[in-house]
Amino acid sequence: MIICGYNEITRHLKGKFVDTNFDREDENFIWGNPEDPETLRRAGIEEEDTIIIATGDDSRNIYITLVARELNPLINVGVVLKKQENVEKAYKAGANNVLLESEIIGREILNSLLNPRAAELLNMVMFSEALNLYAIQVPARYIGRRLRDTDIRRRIGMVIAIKRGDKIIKNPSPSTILHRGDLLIFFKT
Amino acid sequence: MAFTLKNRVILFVLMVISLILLGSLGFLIIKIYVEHQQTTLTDAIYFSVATISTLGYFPQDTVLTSEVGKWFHIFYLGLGLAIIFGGLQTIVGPWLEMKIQRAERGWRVPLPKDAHVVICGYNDLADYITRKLKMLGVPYIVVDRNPPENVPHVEGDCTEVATLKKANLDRASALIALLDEKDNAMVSLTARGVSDEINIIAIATTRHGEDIIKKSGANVVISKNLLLGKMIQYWATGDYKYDIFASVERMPIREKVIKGSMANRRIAELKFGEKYGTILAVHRNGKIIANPDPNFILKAGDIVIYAPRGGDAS
Repeated sequence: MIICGYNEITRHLKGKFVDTNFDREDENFIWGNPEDPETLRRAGIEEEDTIIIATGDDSRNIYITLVARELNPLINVGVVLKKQENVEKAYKAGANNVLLESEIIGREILNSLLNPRAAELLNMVMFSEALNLYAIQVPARYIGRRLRDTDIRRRIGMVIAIKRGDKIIKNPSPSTILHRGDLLIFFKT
Repeated sequence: MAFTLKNRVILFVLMVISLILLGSLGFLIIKIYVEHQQTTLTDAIYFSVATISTLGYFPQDTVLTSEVGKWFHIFYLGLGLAIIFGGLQTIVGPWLEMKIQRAERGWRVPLPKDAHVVICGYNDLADYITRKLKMLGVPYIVVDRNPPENVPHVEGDCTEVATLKKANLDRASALIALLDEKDNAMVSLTARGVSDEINIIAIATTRHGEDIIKKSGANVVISKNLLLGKMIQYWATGDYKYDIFASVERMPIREKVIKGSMANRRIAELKFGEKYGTILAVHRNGKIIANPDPNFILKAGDIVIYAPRGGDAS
C-alpha cells in the first residue's frame, strides 16, 4: 500500500509513505512530491494494489488521484478530503472511495451526543482489543434457510451484519435468507 | 478591495481630506501668484471648509477677488458638493441596509432557550453537525466570532463565560467544542464552570490533548486523527468494520433502560428481538457485555443497546 502524505492521520498506517517531510529514504519512506509521476513510479505504483491519498489539501489530493489513476488503472484509490463539495470531483478523478473528514468525525460526535452508550460500544470495537468483530462463512447446511430457522443465534451469537459480495446487510431481519458465500459478522468478547 | 461599509467610510474621509487640501492649495497659489497678497494656511483651510460645507460666510481675508479666483471658487464649490453628497449617499444607503438586516435577522432566528446543543466554532464539521441536528429536530446554537447568518447563533468567543451565557449554556443539554485543541480545553473548563451537568463533547488532535481536554471537564473527547487513521486502515485492509462504521447512521442504534416489569427476566422471555430489535450489548455498571445469551437475565438499570427492528437491506 502506498500512502501519500506522512502526517498525524496516516503515520500509524503500514505502507510506503511518499512525502517530503522526513529525512530518510528506504523501502517504506520514499522522499519526493507525490504529485510527480516519477516519485509514484519509484514507490512502485504500477505493482501496488492500494493507494491512500491524504496530504491534507483537497486540490492536491484530487490531482494525485488523477496521476495515480493514469499510472495504474486498476489500483484501489482511497482519498481523504475536507470539503463536501470536493467528494464528487474526487470520484470523477478516479477515486474508489472517499473518506470525508467532517462526515466521519461528525458522525462520531452525533453518536456520542444522541446514543452515548452505543457510541461507547462502537468505540470499543473501533479502538480497543477488548471487543472485536469476527466473521464466519455460512456453513453449508444453513444455505437457503432463514436466519430465524437456524440455531446460529443460540450456538454462536447475534448476527449483527452479513457481508454479501460487496454489500453489507446491517442488522439483518430474522427472515433474511442465507446465501452461499455470505459472511456472518458477530461480536467477539 | 471590497466595498464594505467600513472601506466606504475610510474612502470618504480620505476624499474629504484631499478635497480640503486641494482647495487650500488652489487658494494659496491664486492668492500669492495671481492676487499678489499675503495669506496664511489657516485662511486657506477656512476657505476650503467654508466652501465645501456651503457655510457661505467668508471673512475678508478668505475670499478670492480676482477673475481666476472667482472661477476657481465656483468650480471648487461644484466639486465639493458632488463629492460630499455623492459620498454620503454611498455610505448612508448600505448603513441603513445593514441596520434593517440586523433587525430582521434577530427577529428571524430566535435562540433556543432549553435543552439545546451549543456548538463552539463554525467550520466544515459544524456545518455537517448542524445540518444533521436540523434534520433530527434537535435545537442548537452556533457560537463563533464570525457566525453564519442562517442558523441560530451568538457572536463571540466561546472561552468567555459571558458569551456562553448568551447562548443560554446553563440550560443547554450539551456543548460540542470544535475549535483547536487549546481552545477546546479552555472551552471545556469555562463551560464546566457554568454548568455541572452539561454534556461536553470535544475534539482533539493528539493523545496528549485528549487527556488534557478530558481533565478540563469534557465528558467525551474524540481523537480526530486516530479515528481517521483507523478508518483508512479498515478500508485499506478490507475489514468489514469499515462498512459498519461508514454507515453507522443508516444502522440506527438505540438504547433502552431496563426498569419495571422488564427487570429480572431473560432476554428470550421478553421477546426483545421481536418487540424492539437485535440486542448488540448490555451496559451494566459501566461495563459492556457484548452479545448476551438469550438466557441472560436483565436487571433494573441495565441499558440495552440494540439495532431496532425493520433491519436494512442495503
